[in-house]
This record gives sequence, C-alpha cells and structure tokens, in this order.
Amino acid sequence: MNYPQLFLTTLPELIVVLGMFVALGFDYTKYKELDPQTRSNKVAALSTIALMLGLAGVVWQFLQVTDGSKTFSNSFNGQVVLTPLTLWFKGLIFVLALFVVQFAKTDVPNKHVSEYFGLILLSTLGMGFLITAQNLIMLFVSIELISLSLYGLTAFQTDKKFSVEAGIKYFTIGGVSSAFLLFGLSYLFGATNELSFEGITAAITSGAAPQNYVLIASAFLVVGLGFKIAAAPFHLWAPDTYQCGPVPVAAWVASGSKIASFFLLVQLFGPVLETSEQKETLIAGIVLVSVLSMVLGNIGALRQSCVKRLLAYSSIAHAGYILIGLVAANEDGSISVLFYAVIYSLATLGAFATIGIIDSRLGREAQIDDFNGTWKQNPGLSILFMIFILSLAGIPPLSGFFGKFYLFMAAIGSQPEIASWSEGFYWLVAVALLMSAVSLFYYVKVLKAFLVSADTPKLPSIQITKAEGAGLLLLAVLVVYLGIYPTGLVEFIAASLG
Amino acid sequence: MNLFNFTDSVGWLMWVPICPLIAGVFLALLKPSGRVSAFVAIAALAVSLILSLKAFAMTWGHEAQIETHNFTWMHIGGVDLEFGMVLNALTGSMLAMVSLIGLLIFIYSWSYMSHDDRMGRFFCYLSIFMVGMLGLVVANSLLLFFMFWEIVGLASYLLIGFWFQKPSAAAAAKKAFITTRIGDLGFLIGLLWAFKATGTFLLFDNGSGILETTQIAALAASENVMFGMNTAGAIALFLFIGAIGKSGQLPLHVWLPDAMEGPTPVSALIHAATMVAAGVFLVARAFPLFIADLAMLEVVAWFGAFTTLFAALVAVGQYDIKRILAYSTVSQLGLMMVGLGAGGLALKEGGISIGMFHLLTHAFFKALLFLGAGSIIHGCNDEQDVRLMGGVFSKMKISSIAYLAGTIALCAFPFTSGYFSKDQILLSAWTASGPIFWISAIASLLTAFYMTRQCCYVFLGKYRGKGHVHESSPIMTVPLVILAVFAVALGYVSEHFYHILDYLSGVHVHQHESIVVIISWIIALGGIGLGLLVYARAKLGIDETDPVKKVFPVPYRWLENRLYADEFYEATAFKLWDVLAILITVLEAIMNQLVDFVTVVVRNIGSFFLNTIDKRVIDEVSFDGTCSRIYNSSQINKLIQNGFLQGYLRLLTGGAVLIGILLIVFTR
Repeated sequence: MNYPQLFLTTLPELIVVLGMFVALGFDYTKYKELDPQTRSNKVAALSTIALMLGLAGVVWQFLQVTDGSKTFSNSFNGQVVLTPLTLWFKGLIFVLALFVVQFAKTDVPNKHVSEYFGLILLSTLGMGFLITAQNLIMLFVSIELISLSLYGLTAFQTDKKFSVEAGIKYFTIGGVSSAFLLFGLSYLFGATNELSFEGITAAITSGAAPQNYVLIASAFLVVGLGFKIAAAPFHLWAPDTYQCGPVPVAAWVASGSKIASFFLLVQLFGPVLETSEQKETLIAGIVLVSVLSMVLGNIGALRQSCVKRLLAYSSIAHAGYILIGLVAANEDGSISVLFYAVIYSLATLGAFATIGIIDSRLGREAQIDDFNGTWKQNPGLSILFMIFILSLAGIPPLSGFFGKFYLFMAAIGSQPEIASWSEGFYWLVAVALLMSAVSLFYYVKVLKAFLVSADTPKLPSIQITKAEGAGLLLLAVLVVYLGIYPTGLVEFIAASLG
Repeated sequence: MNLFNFTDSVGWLMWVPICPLIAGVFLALLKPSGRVSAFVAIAALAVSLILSLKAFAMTWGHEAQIETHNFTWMHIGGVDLEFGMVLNALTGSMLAMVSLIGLLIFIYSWSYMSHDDRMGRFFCYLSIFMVGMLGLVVANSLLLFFMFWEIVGLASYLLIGFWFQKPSAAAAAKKAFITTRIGDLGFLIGLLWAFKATGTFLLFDNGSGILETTQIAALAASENVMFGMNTAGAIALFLFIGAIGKSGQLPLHVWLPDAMEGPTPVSALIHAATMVAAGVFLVARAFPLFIADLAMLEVVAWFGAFTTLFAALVAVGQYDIKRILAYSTVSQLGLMMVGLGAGGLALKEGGISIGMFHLLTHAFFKALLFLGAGSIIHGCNDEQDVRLMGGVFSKMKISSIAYLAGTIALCAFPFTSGYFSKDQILLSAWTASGPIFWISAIASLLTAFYMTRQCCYVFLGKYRGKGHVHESSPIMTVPLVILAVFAVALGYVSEHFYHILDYLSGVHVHQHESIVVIISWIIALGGIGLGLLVYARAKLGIDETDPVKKVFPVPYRWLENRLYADEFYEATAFKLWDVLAILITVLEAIMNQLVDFVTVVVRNIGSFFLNTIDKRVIDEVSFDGTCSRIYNSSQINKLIQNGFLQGYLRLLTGGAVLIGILLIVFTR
C-alpha cells in the first residue's frame, strides 16, 4: 500500500478527525469548569476551524485533480476515487457542516457539548466518504458511520422523552433498513463477483451478471436507500426525527445526509438503469416509491401545525420529486437529480435553521400561529425565510423552480419518441405538478402567518448572532444565485458526469 | 464565465456595471447615512472609471479589433440564451465618457443634494442608473442590451420623479416612462425579429453574430420585406423607433423638456451625457444593419434634421433656463442622428465616427451647461426663470466662466470642441443631401442665437430676482472647471493629435470642403452676433416683452408654446380617446337595455345554474369538494403515523413486499 498517497487522499478527513480529538480533549480538561454556553462557543470554534482546514484540503485536492497534475484514483486499493465531481460534492458537504455547526452552537441540548459537535463532525466524514466511495465495503461502512452518528444526535436531548423516543425509532427502523441494504449489496456481489463500482458496472453492462440477481439486489437497495432519503413507505422515521430531535440535527439529516444518499443513488442505479434489460421493472419500483412519497408527503403536510413536522413531510415529498429524475434513467436525469439535491439541501437547511433560531428564542416548538406578524418585528429574518420557503415551493426565479423544471424535463425527454399525453412519464409529471399545487397550500399558509397576519406579533424582536445571520444570508444568496444562473452548476455536473 | 480573469479575456468588463450595482444594493439594503452613501457610490463608480479607462486604453490603437466574451446564460428547450461582453472602440470611448462624466456628476450631487434627507436613496438610484448605462455599453447581446436599456428607463423614472411630492415631477416621471416605453416596444419587436431571422442574440460571435458580415449579407439578401426595405433595414427601423423614444427625437420628444422636474444633476446625467445618448449609441452599435439598407440611413437623417430644426426653434421662445437647455439637447441629438444618417450615406462605416464624435463632445459641454445652470439656479435662490436673473456674471465668476465655455462650445465657436464635431456633421450632410445640410445649418444658426439670448438674460444687466446671488461651494465648481476644460479643448486635441474619427469607426475618415467650413464660421459667429445685436442692449425682464416678440409677435407665441406639440397630442391622441369614450358610453347604454332584457330571460336559467350546477356540482363536488377531500385525506396520515414502532416496521416491510410483487409482475 502506498502510504503517502493514502495520506494525501484522506487528508481532509484526517484534519477533521484530528480537530475533533482536539475539541474533545480541550473540552474534557481546560473548559471543564466553564458554563455550557461558553464551552459550546469554544468547541464550535474549534470544530469550525477543523472543518475549514478540511475544506481547504478538499479544495486543494480539487485543484490538483482538475488541472490533472495529480490523481488520487488508485489509492486505498481503489476504495476511494477522487474526481472533480465527488470532490465538489464533498466540499459542499463540508460547507453545509460549517453552517450546521454555526446554527448548532447557540443551543446545545445538554452538557455533553463536545460529543455533540464530535458526532456532527463524524457524520460529516461519513457523508464525505460515502460520496467518494467506489467500493461496496467502503459504501456500507460510510453509511453506518453516518447513521450511527445521526441516531446519537437525534436522541441527544436526553432530558426530553420525545427526543429519546425519536432516536430509538430512527435507530430501529434504520437497523432494519441496513439489513435490507446489506442483503442487497451481498446479492450484488454474488451476481457480479465484484466489489468495486467499476467492476460491477462492467459486469452488468457486459451481461456477465445474471439479470435476475441484479434486479433482486436493486429492489433491496431501493428499500435500504429509500430509508436514507425518507421516501415513502420507508419514511415513517422522518416526521418524529425532524420534530423531536434538536433542530440543527434535523437540518443536517435533511440536507447533508440527503445529498450524500442521492449521490450514491445516482452512482449505484445510474449504470443499472441505463443498461439493464430489466430496467422497466426497476423503474416501476422507483415510480411507485416516487408517487407514494409525493402523495403521502404533501397530503401529510397539509394539516400540520408544527412547522418542523410540516417541513419533515415536505422533505418526504421532495424525495418523491427527485426520484422522478432517476426514473428518466439517462444522463439528463442524473444531472437533474444532483442539481436538485444541492438546491433542495440549501433551501431546507436555511428553513430549518430559521425555525431553529425561532425555537431556541421561544423556548419551545414553534407552531404556525406563533409566526403571526413576525414580519413587523423581524423583517430581515422573514425575507430570508420567505426565500427558502418559496424556493422549496418552486416559485421562479428561485432555484427550486429550475430544479423542478430540469427534473420534469428529464423525465419527459427520456422518451422522445412518445408524443401523446397518455404514454411515457407525462402522467408522472402531471402527478408531480398536481402535488406541487397542493404543496403551495401549506407553504403559503406558513408565509401568510409570517407576512400578512394582522394580529399583534407573538414573537418578540429576535436577536440573531453574527454567525447565524451570515450563514442564513449566504444560504439565501446561493438559493437566489442558483435560480438566476443555474447553468454554471448544471454544466459542471454534466461535464463531470460525461 | 470567469469573472475574476483580468488578463486574457474581456469577461472582466462585466465588473464595470457590477461595481455600481454592488453599491446600489448596499445602499438599498443597509440604508447608511447620506454622507456614507455618497462616498460608497462615488468610490464604486471610481472603480468603474478605472476599469473603463483600462478598456479605453486597450482599444486605443486597435480600432478594427473586436474582442468578445460570450457565455450561455440559460438553456431553455432547444434555445441557448447567450450573453456576452464586447470590447471595441465604440465600447471603450463610450465607457470612458460615461463613467468620467458620471463620476463628476456624482461628486457634484454630493454637494447639491446635501440638504435633502433622502440623499442615500438618491445615490442608490444614481448607482442603479449607472448600472444600466454602463451595462448597455458593454453588452454584446441584443437581449442583454435591452435589459440594461430597461434598467436605464426605470432608473430615470425614479430619478425624474425623485421629488415626487411635487405633482409636476410625478407627472413628468410618468410621461418620460410611458413615452419612452412606446419606443421600447419598437426596440423589442426589432430584437425579436433579429433573433427570429438569425437565431442568435449575440452581436459579435466569431463571424456568426448579428452584426457580422455573413449575417448582414443574409439579412440584406431578402428584398422588399417591409416598405421596400430588406430585412436588415426593417430590423434597423424598429431599433430606430427605440432610439427615437430614448433620444427624444420627433415625435417622441415631449418627455424630455418635462423631465427637467428632476434634480439638476439628474438633468445633467440623463439629458446630457448618458440616457438620451443611449438611443444614438444604439444606432451606432447596430450601424451595420443601417448601412445594409440606404433607405434606412435617409430615414435616420431626415428624422434627425426635422428634430434639430424643430427643437432649435422652440428653444428660442423659452424662458426657463433648464428648459432652453432641454430643447437644445433635443436639437443636438437630432444633429447626431443627422451625423449618423448622412455620415453613413457619405462615408459608409465612417458614419459612426461622425455621430459618435458629436455625442462625445456634446456630452461634455452639455453636462457642463446643466451643472452650470444648476449652480446658477442654486446661487439665485432656486430661481429658474431667466427673466428673473441677470447680472449673475459679476457675482458668480467661476460658474459663469465655466458656463460661457460650455456655451461657446455649443454654439460651435471656432476651435472649441463643438466646432469640430458639428463641422464633420455639416460636411457629411453637404455630401449626402442638400436639404438636410441647409436644415442643419439653419438649426445651428438658431443654436448660436438662442444660447446668446440666454446668456444675455442671465449674465448682463442688473439682478432682477429676490435675495442675493452667491457663488456655489467648491465641490460644485470643481467638476464645472474640469468639464469646461474638456468642453473647450477636447475637439482640437482629439482630432488633431489623436485622429479620434479614425479611432471611433476603425476606418479612415477624411472630408474637407472649404465652402462648408466658411458657412459654419458664418453660422457660429453670425448667430452669436445676431443674438448680441438683439439682446445685449435690450431691456429684459419679466414685465418686458422679448425683443424678438416685438417684431414677430404671432410666430413667437407659437414658439413660446413649444409649437403646440403637447397640445397636438392632446388634440389628436387624447381627443381620439375622448371620442372613443363617448362612443363606448353610447354603446354601453344600448347594451344595457339589451342586457336588461336578456337578464330577465336568463335570470331563471341562471338561478338554476347557480343553485344546481355551480353550487352543487362545481363548488361542493368539484373544486371545494376536491380541496376538502384532499385536506381530509390527510387523515390517512394519522392512521399510518400512529406512533407505534411495530406499525412502522410492518409498513416498511410491506413496502418491500410490494416492490417484490412488482418485480414478479413486471419481469417477463
């Protein structure tokens, strides 16, 4: 094994791990006597520095790979392959983690401050590895790293019964899903006799692998990964986790974890869907999951009065939308899935962070009624929240609109020979559009409370910290920017995939 | 698109408009105090100016070279919407002029607006205006050009109506916005037509842009598309309609004099240097389209000639110092159009030089005149009527000398900048067409005459207004002095030392005709002399009759009333609306009777539909029904999400089984 190469390949991760241990060490010794809030600020600062250094490492690797002066392809025995695309997404994960750390530091659930941030960093590493993984073993290990960290984070509010309950539910369902996933992976290995993605793809495309086994494996993978992206009917953990866990954790589950999972989904299913003779079957399965997610997610959100739970259902619905891109089963579809995953994560992270800020100032879970007339007291916060919500609802010119547009175009364009409304995926897109219309109802309900409700404001004027403000503003700028100029990112993804 | 590449491509040109944009957004969002806003706006524009000068330096000596940087903005359906920046002599010179004069006006406004408590907002609007103006200069796409053009329109609306508490200012802003919008519609049609005909919005694109030889040849090949013109000419005609609106040409000039209701720096910015020049710039930019059909060049020249004479006549009968300058601007813009049209007829591509040269010199001396007028108005306690001024010269030396420098440049006094540029226009008109030459010559004579008349009113005699006259602060006078130097020297220096005419169009321009030179001397000196003869010794004042009016009372009254252009619109367009309104009222009365009758018949049917079809079928069953059914269907969620883990796991496994069943069903 080439150790210097291995070192350089995992440099960002090593930095972050080191940073985590430094934070833990300081917290156990030097900061021991301080009050929780000060400790939280200090540990968060250390974590931020670690993540920034890690991000710098990723950027360095990205520059090296882009100009071709160095390749990291064969390190780790091919377990991890660094390409511009994977590095870009890994960088994005690190950036999102930076935001989450900023939002998390004002309201740490209990006195185990450094463990809280340590788990966030660990899950970041897991997501980074998942994106760069090119091997089934590596894939499973990273998924478990993410999942176990997130279970812990969800149950972190140990003084709250519901938080622990949500953690247990998440853990149990996650365990069952992992079993499905592992079963699927083992079938994939059995069918192709390969562990690396490259080998698997080659075996499937050449027809060497028995189609039926591949299909069975894919069906199990749909269940296992359906859990990760919170698609119906594997979504049942999501509302409880999002509502009862700490809000920054919910934001993290809804953004970082989603991006990593969708990236994996594209990587795993891309070749199967594009080449397999049995792709009709697999597509039927994905379509089922997609429609169920859109319908259950949107309808479930209609009656929620708790904003976090509402966003949880909306995230289930969004998983349904994104799967439409996968159904297209071509390169356009993959591009649109990745693009949507990015912009969805940005907007949902922003929305959750805003709710988190309001929750922590309010001292309890915010209901929609609590937002009445917030506009008057907190115009800045309201505008930012409006941007996130409208992007989620898919209103132009925000990026959510273009994301949906690309997804639907990919699905319709995947079967160019079909012209009639009754064939192809027109009906699927029609369902998606209908459900988007339904979704407007609950998004606008939240906005209405924010903007036009004439009652006297319930919320006091909210002071937000500089880090929170800067984070929210940056997220909003990104959401708007990707709406006005989506081509840059889309072309980058297209060039990297092709 | 790499915005941070400052070396090998021209993508960095985008930063010229982006700098004021950043300032504008900053001012709009953070609302700093007046002084800070002024500082931010001025600093941002200074950066733009530096970049503009770099662009200018890059084009100097490389006249024929066109550098572009294009990128895809959006990909929709099968269409690429491409944007881009272009750098050639036209861009370079225009950028340098706009940002330099803009910066001077910004500095001037700092002092001029210092007593206004909405100063921050004012600088925000100014910055947005510069975004549009600088943006359209660098744009290499008709669509992008149009977008910035509209930003200019919006910003000018906001600026003209800045003192919106004055009803006249609010009305003027609305008038400017709506009148130019009529022109913009023409522009929009033109750009869509160009897109349909060529499939691209790009002006220059390595040989396949709209303005490049292959496309022009293809466009010119189609004969008699509209009014006997070819496609290029037809597109050019619609673009020219846009230019007519923006540049205040007959018959869409009516907004320009009214727009003087805005603060004086705005008048200088909009009416001298930039906004009104945008129309002329559009014609210059799209000049290859105009050359492709000679009939179009004649249209441009004749429109210009009529405008220049009309506005020069009206200016003689005005008493408001800014209004005189406004009509003078209209007149000079007409002259620029003559330069472009006649220049194109006489010199082909060289026509760009003729029009643009006058645009550049005019920008400097007209900005100077407006800012000088602002200073004088300030000094005379906000009085704008020249009959209530007088004797200003001895009290406001710096402002007055600067103002006189602008005046002689506008009168085309030999060897000032206006002389050189106007001379070129007259020379090409002489070659192109006799009548246009004589019309332009008479207009130029009138220009010298009305400017002398104005100066006699303002500077000679005793002060006739209220209060005391006082000189303005140095922040206001320094820009005046700088502009005065440019107004006097720019023409000679640029033509004799630097051959600016060759630079502007990239082809060698040379025209000489001794008789024209003599005529233009006679015009300038004759006009001034005539003015002095009539006004220098006359008794002037609000109670006195104007000396010209004494001799020609009736025609002069027409001039005082601006040749009834506004009244003409009132009598025609407005009357037409009135007549239509009456007709509609009559029709409505008849219709009402009919409707009443039908109503009775229909009411019964209607109530049936109302109660049965509408309420039952549509509301209860269809729309409301569907909505509430969807809403109620979320009950199902309670069933699933019951909180029991066993149920969750059962459902998860059920889903897996469902997929398994699908697998069996679909696999054949």
